[in-house]
Amino acid sequence: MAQKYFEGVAHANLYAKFRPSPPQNLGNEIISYLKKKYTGDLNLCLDVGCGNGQSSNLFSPYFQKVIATDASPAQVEVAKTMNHPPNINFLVGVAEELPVKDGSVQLVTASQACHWFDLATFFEETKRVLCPGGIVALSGYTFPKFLHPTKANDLQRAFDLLYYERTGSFWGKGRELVDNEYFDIILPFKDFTREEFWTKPITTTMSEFVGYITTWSGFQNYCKVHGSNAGEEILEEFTSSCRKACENYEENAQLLITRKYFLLMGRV
Amino acid sequence: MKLLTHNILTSKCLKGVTVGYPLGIVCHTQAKEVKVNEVEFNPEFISRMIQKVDWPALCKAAENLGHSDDLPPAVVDDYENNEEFLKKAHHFLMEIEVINGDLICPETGRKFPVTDGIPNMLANEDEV
Repeated sequence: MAQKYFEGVAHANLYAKFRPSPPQNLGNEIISYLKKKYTGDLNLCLDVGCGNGQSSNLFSPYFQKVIATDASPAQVEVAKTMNHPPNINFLVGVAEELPVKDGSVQLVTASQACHWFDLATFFEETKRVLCPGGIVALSGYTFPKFLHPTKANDLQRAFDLLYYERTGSFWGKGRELVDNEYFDIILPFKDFTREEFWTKPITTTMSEFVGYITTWSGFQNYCKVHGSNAGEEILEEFTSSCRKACENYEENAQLLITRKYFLLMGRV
Repeated sequence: MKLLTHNILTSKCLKGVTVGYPLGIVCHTQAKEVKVNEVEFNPEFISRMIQKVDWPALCKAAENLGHSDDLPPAVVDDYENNEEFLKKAHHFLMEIEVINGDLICPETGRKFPVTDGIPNMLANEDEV
């Protein structure tokens, strides 16, 4: 267990540094949908597969308490060291067994996580813990799209090579649900809606972008099988293709990207 | 509380605890406090969980509950393609549930209660 744990801590720290926090309007859409038919108190939100709490913060202003769970003890440990609002409790737990009483939750949410769940069991648990009028919100985001005025296609090509050809076979089953933007997921709830939106342009740098790539489970698995030197090589292959495409390339030059968020919501 | 959940819980949140794993399990009256359910078998999910699971801790927990008959002592090679093994893993990880009892920190002896199937791992402010 110790070996897996220490690998987990390294990964979790990368997550904390490079994983995006969701945009504010994602939280707004979810709360609006909840309040359309639920008029009671917002006592408890459950954020499942929370990582280091990237999305848990979105809900802390609205609810008395947020319980954020992740199946990785390392992720939870890192989450506890970060600056989160005090009404968020981080706990280790699996999506297939939610650590709360029947009917005690107004919102069950999972951000870029549910593709790893046993969805049938997760939905059963969700129905158990939601109060009447409570909702489930499953969100995810696509890979970044480059917004370069002239070289977007070249950058995209370099990226696609890295994702599909280099790391392609190292992703767990579940990743394809994200690539399909959760269109394959059917919420077994009577009210069901789907929304999607592109973020405003996000300013990043090549080195931050590469940092984000290192958090990919596909990249982590690639390194486990081929070694970290091989991992460095495929990153270098990516950055040197980008360098060749962009004449005034500098590692800390600004890079503009956007992401598409998709959101599935259902009401018991 | 399923044994899958038990397998990932630690008491590391407590002050002075270095590892806090695995947590002991004590049930007050075994017959009433441990349930066996039927849960839909998802081989791909179980395969993935086996990668994360500490198998010796699972064995110890199942033994503590008196429900370790037929539990394989170790993960077999090529388990992803071994349906019989996956079904057994599924049974022990997902179908055995502790309803009421206590989880015990192996370093401090502090008890974390399990009530109506839910473990309460929230420590008090003065304990962390």
